[in-house]
Amino acid sequence: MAPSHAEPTVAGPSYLDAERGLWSWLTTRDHKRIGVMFLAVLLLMFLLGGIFALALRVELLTPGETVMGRLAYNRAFTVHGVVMVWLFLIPSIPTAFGNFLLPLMIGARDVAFPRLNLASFYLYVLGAVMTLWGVFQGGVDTGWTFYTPYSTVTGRDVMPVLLGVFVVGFSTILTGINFITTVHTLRAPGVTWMKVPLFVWAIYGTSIIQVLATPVLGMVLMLVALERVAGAGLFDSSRGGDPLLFQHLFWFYSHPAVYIMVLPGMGVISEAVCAFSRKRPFSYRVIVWSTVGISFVGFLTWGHHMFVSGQSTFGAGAFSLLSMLVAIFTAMKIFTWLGTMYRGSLWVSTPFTYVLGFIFLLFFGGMSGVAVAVTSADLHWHDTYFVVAHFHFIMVGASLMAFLAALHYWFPKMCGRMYPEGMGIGTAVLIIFGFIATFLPQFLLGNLGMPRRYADYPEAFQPLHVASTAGASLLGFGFLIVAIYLGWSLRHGRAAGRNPWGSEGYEWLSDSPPPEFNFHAPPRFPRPPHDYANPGANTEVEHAA
Amino acid sequence: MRHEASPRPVEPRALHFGDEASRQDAAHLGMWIFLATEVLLFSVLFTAYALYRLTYPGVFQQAPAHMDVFLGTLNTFVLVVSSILVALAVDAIRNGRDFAAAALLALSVLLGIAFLFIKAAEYTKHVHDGALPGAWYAYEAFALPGANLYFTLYWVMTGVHAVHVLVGVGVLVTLALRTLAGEFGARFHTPVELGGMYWHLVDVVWLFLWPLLYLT
Amino acid sequence: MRGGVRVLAVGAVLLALATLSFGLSRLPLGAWAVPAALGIALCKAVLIAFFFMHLAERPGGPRLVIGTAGVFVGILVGLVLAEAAARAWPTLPPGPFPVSRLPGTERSGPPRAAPPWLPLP
Repeated sequence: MAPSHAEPTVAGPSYLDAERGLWSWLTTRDHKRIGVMFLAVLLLMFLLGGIFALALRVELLTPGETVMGRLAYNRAFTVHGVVMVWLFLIPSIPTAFGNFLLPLMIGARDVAFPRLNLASFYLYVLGAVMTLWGVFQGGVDTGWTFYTPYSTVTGRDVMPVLLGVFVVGFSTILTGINFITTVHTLRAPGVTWMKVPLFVWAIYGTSIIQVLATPVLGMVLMLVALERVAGAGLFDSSRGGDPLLFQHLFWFYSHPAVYIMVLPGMGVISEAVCAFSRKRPFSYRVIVWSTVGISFVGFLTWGHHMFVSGQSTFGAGAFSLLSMLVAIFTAMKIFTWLGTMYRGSLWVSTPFTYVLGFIFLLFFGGMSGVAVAVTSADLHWHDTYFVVAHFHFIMVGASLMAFLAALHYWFPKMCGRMYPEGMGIGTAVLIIFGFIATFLPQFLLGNLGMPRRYADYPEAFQPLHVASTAGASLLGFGFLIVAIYLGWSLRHGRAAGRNPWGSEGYEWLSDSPPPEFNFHAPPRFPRPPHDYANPGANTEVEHAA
Repeated sequence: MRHEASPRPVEPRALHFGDEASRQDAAHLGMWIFLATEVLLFSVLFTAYALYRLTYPGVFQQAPAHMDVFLGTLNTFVLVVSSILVALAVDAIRNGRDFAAAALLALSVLLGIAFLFIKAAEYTKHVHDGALPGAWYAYEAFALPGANLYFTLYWVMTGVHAVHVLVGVGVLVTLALRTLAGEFGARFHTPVELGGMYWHLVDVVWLFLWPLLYLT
Repeated sequence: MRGGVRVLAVGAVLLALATLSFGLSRLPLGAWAVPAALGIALCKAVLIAFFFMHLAERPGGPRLVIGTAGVFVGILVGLVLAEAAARAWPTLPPGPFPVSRLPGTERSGPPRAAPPWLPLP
């Protein structure tokens, strides 16, 4: 497919070449460079969390203690959870791709508060270092949820981790403030609210959740710290307190955090589906309103984490019903994506392969979510591998597939080079099958009664555990290949040109990689994004003449 | 701003924001979002308060008898007056009266510091009573299950608020000095407005803490 | 100068409302004491937001933001209270455990909080 725009006649220096040297990166206020720096650190975190995931699977290959003791196992799954949730998934797509693309997609020069943006990056790094240092020197064994009363009585040193996660939360708040303000105030002329690209809508919804929910988490973590230092008693029933209050407040943040992880992914899918089906979205409005709907309803469902914790029957029933509402909005999105693909001119590229994987796995993750939202069924599945498999279908199956789709779709945008397409598709298939092989057995294990967070299990469960570990190895191998060919392509990939996908997304109007200030001239957006009926209607000005 | 068919090379360093008004819009919006996060931060403590008030209604009703209601009410008036002074300062600087603005900001700083001293006097009294937070609670005159939670909440809520007052005082001092240095005037005074908004938020939080902890 | 007059007028109302709130707390209002006090506090907050925090001059974004924040505070407090109010006795604090009247003086039982300076096992 030939690019729909003429190549630029004069190529200025791209953002990568505008300034050189490490110092120019570390002190940059360019949103694109900050996005790239975030991406680099996030990938490191993903590597770390992944190594620990594989370690867990190796331990679970056989019953009994093999490579690590039980305490070490507890610490290992804490590292895996803390790193993957707090340091990778929650910041992943917004900080890396959101930072890079959001101003490009609304025709702005940069985000509203560029200095704040850089501060957010350094806060994230500081928080990540504190958290990792805390996890390793303290040997924290609470899991990523820091449930009281265990987190207040365990002999491990939890404090640095609480502080570290607090600081990381501050970083996401700053990013959220920046993104919301940017979308409100810096849209280029012509980009009305109903012409804002769907990825931007997703990031906008995510930012609202981050801004509203993260302070709650910060305060709760401080209260847990207070509990440890001063025996505050707020979450301690021996002092008249209520441990359930902790769960309420924690999940008020951490359930919406699931949507912080998956909504940006849905935005990526909305963009990629249009680009690779060569069609405008089947219904732009449905996707927008379901994004807003998920952002809102996501706040009403947190109690489904507490069905067996002793919350009231009324509360459980209410939260159960409200949880199912999320499925409606998610289904609206899935139908819209399918409607977009229907009779589209499909281009099965690597990003599109991940899109297909995303939709398939999100469907299973979502439906199993409805299943565990039913209180009576959840009594059986709660704290078993069924739940583990369910949320990994959402977090890995959906979020991570979307992350990989974004990585491949925008790789040429970020560095101006292509990766080997055949290798990409093959690896995508490998990763999707590796994923299913890892987590499908866990559904079965959970239904048989295998509890989560246990290092040991009866012999009868071994075949399924072996299958899961084999799948995890495939998954790890797939990621390794991706890392190798993307790393190779950074240097040796063929030049991509301005718009290798022939996409009508707004971000492709500028060069790839974009110049320092995104556009050579103020761009014009007379048509909505992904309007393949009028190719080339949206332009940087100089092409319009 | 129209750049129809402008020939290359176009000046890429066009203004980030179109004009000062949209810059102000962005600054205000960003500040409001930040204030919203502050509201949610405090809402955690209010939730805990609501839950324990529901669980120990008697204790929470008796509790104001063990508080220094006079000092608490005095603090309310101190904060409200300082808030009014800050609002007057913003009005003064909008009308170009820089020196009056700086003087008003300095006055409200004094009131903020007075608030902290009064708060410290209250804390001293509670320490003498043994009404300390958490495991250190040893107040014989108010020894009921749940009383320790009331005082823990009291210390945490007013403590977090006092930290905000301290930050606010710092902000106001900076603003007053920068106003005196002539950095702000009728044309540009966004930082004064934003700093003032932060101070008002601190005031608003206290307006909810005061009736819950001292009056009802 | 008109702005200054308005600030003073709003300020006078604020001080009057604070006095009213204090006065009401001396009356035996029973169950209405908390709603009345919170209602007055809310009035003061709205006045401050609109006139001191410039919300009156800024329709759109800022109002949307602070309104949304208010809604979510309501959701948090409301749902937690609704759930807790429907709970059965033993799951509501103090629950079935003996609770010490003065937590600082308890000397029996396992330590409920490990100080951070304790060595790790």
